[in-house]
Amino acid sequence: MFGLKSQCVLDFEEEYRTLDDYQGRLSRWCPGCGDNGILSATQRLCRDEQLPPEKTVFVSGIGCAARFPHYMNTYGFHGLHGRALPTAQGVRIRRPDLHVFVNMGDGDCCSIGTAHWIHAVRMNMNMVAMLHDNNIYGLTKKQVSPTTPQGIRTNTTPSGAYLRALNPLSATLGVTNVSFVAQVVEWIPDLLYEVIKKAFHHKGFSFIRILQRCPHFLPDLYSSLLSNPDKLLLLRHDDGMEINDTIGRVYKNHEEHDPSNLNRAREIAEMGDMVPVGILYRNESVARYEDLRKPQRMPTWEQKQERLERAFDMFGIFPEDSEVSGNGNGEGS
Amino acid sequence: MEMVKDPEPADRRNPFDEETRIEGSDTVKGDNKTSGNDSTSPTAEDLPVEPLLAWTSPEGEATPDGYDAVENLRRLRRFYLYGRLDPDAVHSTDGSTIPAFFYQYRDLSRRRYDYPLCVNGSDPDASVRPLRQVIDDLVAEVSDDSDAGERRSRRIYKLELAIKSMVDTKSGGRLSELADRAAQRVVASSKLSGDKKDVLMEDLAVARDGLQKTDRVISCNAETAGQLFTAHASADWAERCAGWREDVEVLICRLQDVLNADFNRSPQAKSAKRLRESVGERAADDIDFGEMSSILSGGEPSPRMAKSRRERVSGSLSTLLEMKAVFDAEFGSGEDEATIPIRIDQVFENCASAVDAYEDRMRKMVSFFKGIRVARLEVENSYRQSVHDEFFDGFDMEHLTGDELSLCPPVLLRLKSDNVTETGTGVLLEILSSGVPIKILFEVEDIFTRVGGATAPSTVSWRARLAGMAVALDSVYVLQAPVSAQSAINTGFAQGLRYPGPALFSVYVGTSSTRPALSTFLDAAASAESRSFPVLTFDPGKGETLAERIDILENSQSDIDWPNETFAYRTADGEVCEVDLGFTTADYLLCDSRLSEQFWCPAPAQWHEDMVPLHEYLREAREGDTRIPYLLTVDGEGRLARAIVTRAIVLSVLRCASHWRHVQEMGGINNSFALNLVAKEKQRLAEEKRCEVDAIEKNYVEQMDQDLGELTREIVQRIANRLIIEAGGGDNTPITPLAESAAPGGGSALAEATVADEAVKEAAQEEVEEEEDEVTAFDDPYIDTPLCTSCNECTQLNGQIFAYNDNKQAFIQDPSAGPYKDLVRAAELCPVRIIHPGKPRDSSEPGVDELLRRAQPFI
Repeated sequence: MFGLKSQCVLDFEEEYRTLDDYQGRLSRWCPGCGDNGILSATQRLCRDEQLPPEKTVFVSGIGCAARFPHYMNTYGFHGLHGRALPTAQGVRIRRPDLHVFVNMGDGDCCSIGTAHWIHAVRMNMNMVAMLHDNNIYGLTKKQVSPTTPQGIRTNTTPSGAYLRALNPLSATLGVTNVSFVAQVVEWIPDLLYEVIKKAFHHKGFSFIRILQRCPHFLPDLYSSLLSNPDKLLLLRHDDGMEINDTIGRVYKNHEEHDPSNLNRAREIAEMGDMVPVGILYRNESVARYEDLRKPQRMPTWEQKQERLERAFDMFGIFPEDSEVSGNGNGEGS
Repeated sequence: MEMVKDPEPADRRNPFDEETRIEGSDTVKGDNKTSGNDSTSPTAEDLPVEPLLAWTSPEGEATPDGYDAVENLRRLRRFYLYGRLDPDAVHSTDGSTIPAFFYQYRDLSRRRYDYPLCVNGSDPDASVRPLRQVIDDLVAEVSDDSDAGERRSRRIYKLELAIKSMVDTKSGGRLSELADRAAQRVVASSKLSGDKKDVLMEDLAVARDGLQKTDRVISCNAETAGQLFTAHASADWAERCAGWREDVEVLICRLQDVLNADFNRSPQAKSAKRLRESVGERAADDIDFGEMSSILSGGEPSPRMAKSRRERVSGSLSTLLEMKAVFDAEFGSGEDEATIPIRIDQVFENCASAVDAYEDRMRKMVSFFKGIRVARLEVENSYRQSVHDEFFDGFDMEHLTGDELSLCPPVLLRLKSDNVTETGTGVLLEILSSGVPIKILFEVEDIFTRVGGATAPSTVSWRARLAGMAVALDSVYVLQAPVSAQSAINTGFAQGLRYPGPALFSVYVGTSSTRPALSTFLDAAASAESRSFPVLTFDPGKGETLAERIDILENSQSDIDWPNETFAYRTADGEVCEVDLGFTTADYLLCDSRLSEQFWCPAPAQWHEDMVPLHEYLREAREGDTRIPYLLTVDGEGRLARAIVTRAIVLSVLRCASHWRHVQEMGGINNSFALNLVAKEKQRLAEEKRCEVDAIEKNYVEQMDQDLGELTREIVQRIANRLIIEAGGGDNTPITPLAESAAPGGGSALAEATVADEAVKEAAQEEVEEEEDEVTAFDDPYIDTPLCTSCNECTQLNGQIFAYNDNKQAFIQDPSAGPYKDLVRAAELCPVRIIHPGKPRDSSEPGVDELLRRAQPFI
């Protein structure tokens, strides 16, 4: 009656999860570290979207930022240095029902993991990739990273970094099949949250570069940005980010930027005097690798067993007089 | 009138005719490509010939000998009123006389129309397509603009013609086989030889390869409706369960995973025998499985799944495994009935057995969906016995969602109108009114019937009006169409099968026993054209109103009483004349062999000037009309003739016309309520407009009077002024215009200004007070919480003063929970400088002056 059916009774099983439900272990980042803000914003997203912890995976490589999965009460994979993205792609293609997040530091993504980064952008698999860019290797005590600004003294460049810093935004925007690029600073929590939320809802590979303070090794790196709000350029658009009035009043420089305009996005990414904040580029029409290579049907139990057997046979120990040679093909010689 | 719907204009080049000219030449020049006759416009030689007029023209110029107008009129009226003829006269209908409009359709073999059809059960998007469409697609695919392409396309059309002629004479068959036989026939009849013949065979081979995909070809006959019914049901089922097969398989896999995982924890899984089996034969002798088993079985036994859960999972699994066959079964594959719990391709021919089958299917489907739901909960491990046991104990049809109901295979019921018994009728009406999704193909075999013996007038059978009754039931999808209306049938079958409730497809399949002269297609098409069996669809799922639900636009010229078209013929002098003719129910009845005594074709010498075409007679019918209605017909030798109809036929026609108007009104054409409303509204608007014009006129006159008065006053005043000045007695004091005296006094404005001033003062006072409040508020510490980056600095410094809110952003929980020193220290540590320590509550705190100095930048 009134359009209600008795199967609705199943709905009362739903639970509401609070922020604490997403908190894993207590964070051990340095006091004042920007990673804390990113963690809070991500936990807020999980709570607001009510993501089931068992259906959510955080994948990381090595570095300060890579401790992220430990602090989330979800599934996590703390992988190898630079290899967060291929791991996440493996998760994604085999378990399309999971929400996949990737947390990488600037060394992880832009140095040892560069090849994976470029191809992950090109393959455009649906996940949120956060680049925690503090411009330094923090875990190894202040070594130069690809995004360290020229002239900064580090333990590996005592006379100052030699090269100009890599620009992860323009690098990503230059890759074929790019579908979502954003930049945000971690010290404006509301903006950070909004950008991660937009990235989460984007269907495809969402790349967010998060400018993150390292109070221990580079305490003054962003002080000019912190003390001078006019150095930030907020990108707003009906189809992109909405800027609320409070933030809009404090950060007065705005630009109406259509996220579908790739050429303008590239110009914004190359800005030298201002730091753009918001969605630079978004295009949902780009093909996603997991859709193109979607398995036609799940293997049956027998097929699974057969494949496992075949894999195990590759490492089987056989008697010397067995017909099977140990070359791993399991087919016999 | 359009019995045979012409294909798109591009097809008008009549490929059949062009093809016949191709034989001798290998290449075709450009001018031939666009030439060709339109098969719908016959040449003058094809037209029927009018006999010489024998009766006196109104002007009385030519009166042949022996013509007796009075006697003729008497005979005609006698037949019209009483259906009696003089002994020497004969009835017309020897079977070869046909309505004039049928003449151009007498040979359908070279016409391209909706039949024959290609039915393809495996492709839901193109399950039923006319052969001509298949051929056109093939031509578009394999031909190009080159001469060779043009030649090939013509040969393909020739192949179509051959296939068509074979299908028309036989009952159809597989398209690929028909194409093979047709190709042989084309090659055999070709006069080409050598290389040219090879090219012909190559072209035909290309065509045959392109035609392999589609399945069967069916022509228009009494069985067509049934074949289309099953073809659509097949496509509908394929569409319904697309995507579901995979879901069911995945669920089965996952349930098996659950059971396997449990089994692997059992002692049996660790037994030596099992271990040996799992390793395989090759290494069986090299490992001591007994020892291995005892090692694995030692220690704590692994926890097992509860027995109730295991039973539930295996119960659900066995239900899914059993029902999986229903989704996997190929429609019409004829698989063994015992292996499939529901035979979706079964067509019932009896109402009672359909109802039984429906109940049986629903029982099985309810248990299937129960299994599915339990399986979904189980694989997510969220089955709670306390809640779900009770829910699933009472699980029945009411619990099924719309999506699930749409997956229940519909019950197909095929009834022949003449075989429906009295009991069957009762059950049929029960089915229609109950809302259960049984899809009924009701094959109407005869529209007209005679209640009360052979002498009674022919009336429309209730069977032919069953669709209209079903519309009144309001919840039935209804399609009424003759089998010739292929597009209406295709859309109607597809929509009706998708509709969640019952569907009634009332299809007129032709009556070959009483209309031997007509092909089934023409018979069926004429039934709709003559408004005896109008095309009608009623889809209750489309909306709330009749306008959304009913569609009668498939009828030709649906806005008028009778379809109307220009008919061309040749006079005895050889001139081509044209006349507008309407196609009425009487034209349709003319071909009915049972009614032959109701029509009479008098010889031209017996005609009379008071004879009028029936459609005109009906248009102007009036009381005491002495005119004699006739139908224009063509006899077997291509001569025009006039068939007089009896009054009984005219009454039947009027009844059909009345029914057609009823259908029109339902379909929103010439709806009487709407017409009345429009008339009323027009009258109201005209009245309003008239009132407005009156008011404007009145205003205008008043304004004119007023303006004239003012003008007069002004002129008088000016004259008076001039007179005073000229008289020299004036002191140049201007005459104060009257208007000024009406200006408002300044006193009230001043009062308003004073009030406003007071308001401003009050507001200013309030502002000062508010500012004072805010200054006081600055003494308390606070945090710009929305800007907090959750860095843990303050909360680790003093977890009592600082705390996190729901968004994990810091706020001052209790400023008195610690010393002022902590507030100042936290403000200094905060990386985003959002902590404002305020002023110390306890001024006696040690070093308070120093702290205040440090706090200064953050206040």
